Amino acid sequence: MKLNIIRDPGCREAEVTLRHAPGDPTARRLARCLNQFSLILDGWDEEECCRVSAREILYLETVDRKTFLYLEGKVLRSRESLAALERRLEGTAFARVSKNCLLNTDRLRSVRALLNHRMEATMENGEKILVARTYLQNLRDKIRG
Amino acid sequence: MEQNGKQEIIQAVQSVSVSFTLVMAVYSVFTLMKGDGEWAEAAFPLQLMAFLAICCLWERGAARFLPLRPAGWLAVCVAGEYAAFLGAARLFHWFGFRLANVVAFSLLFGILQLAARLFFYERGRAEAARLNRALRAREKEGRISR
Repeated sequence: MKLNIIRDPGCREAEVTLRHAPGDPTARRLARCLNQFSLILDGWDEEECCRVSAREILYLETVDRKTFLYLEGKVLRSRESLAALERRLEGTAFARVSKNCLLNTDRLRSVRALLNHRMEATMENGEKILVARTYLQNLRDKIRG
Repeated sequence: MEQNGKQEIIQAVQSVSVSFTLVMAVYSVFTLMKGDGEWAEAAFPLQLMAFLAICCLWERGAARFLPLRPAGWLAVCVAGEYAAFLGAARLFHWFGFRLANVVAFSLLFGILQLAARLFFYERGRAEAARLNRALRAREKEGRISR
């Protein structure tokens, strides 16, 4: 793979063009990484709005009809629904693992089977998330993707 | 190659199990319709299928709707299925309700429960191991940027 980096003082926003042969699996993975890198979500801490990169988010969860973004050492509230965020995060490493949780598989450390036909995902910061059986295929596809 | 051979055996066992279940169900229905032989013997496979289907639905429902830790969930599932087992045995006259019979069949129920749960738990563990290997491989390749 050839990588060309051009430093242009007149450039306001970085632009990435990915040229690849049809069916190149590396290109798909690169595109996913770039999507995740460039996607910025708004999170609210009390009344203060924070803009966070999707890469920083460990997982998103809906509790009492409110959506929260869980980062390392911080929790922000999102004003978008989980379904809307899921659409925005399509093509990134986020996978739906239950009715109310999207997990960033790039920040996933390991998984473990449980007795109740579910899996337990352990994130980089040690937090554990339950993966429902019906969403296991999603997780599998994202990890192998 | 070894993994492929193992997969083939598992698939063969699964196919045989499904085929056997279907054949027994069809056989039961035909026997009941013909009116030959003991009704109870002909109906037993269908009764057992109905009981197992109820157990599966119970477990799926419990997995979705009961917010319990795995051990608590397991206890609720087994208790529910045992109650259903005794109820079905009473309703369909699977065995006489003397103490010795109840103990013997309860033990059998326990053994089959343990075997089934171990089977599914091991399948879950194998799946988790595959996913963890994929995660390690991904880290090694440097596909994850932190």
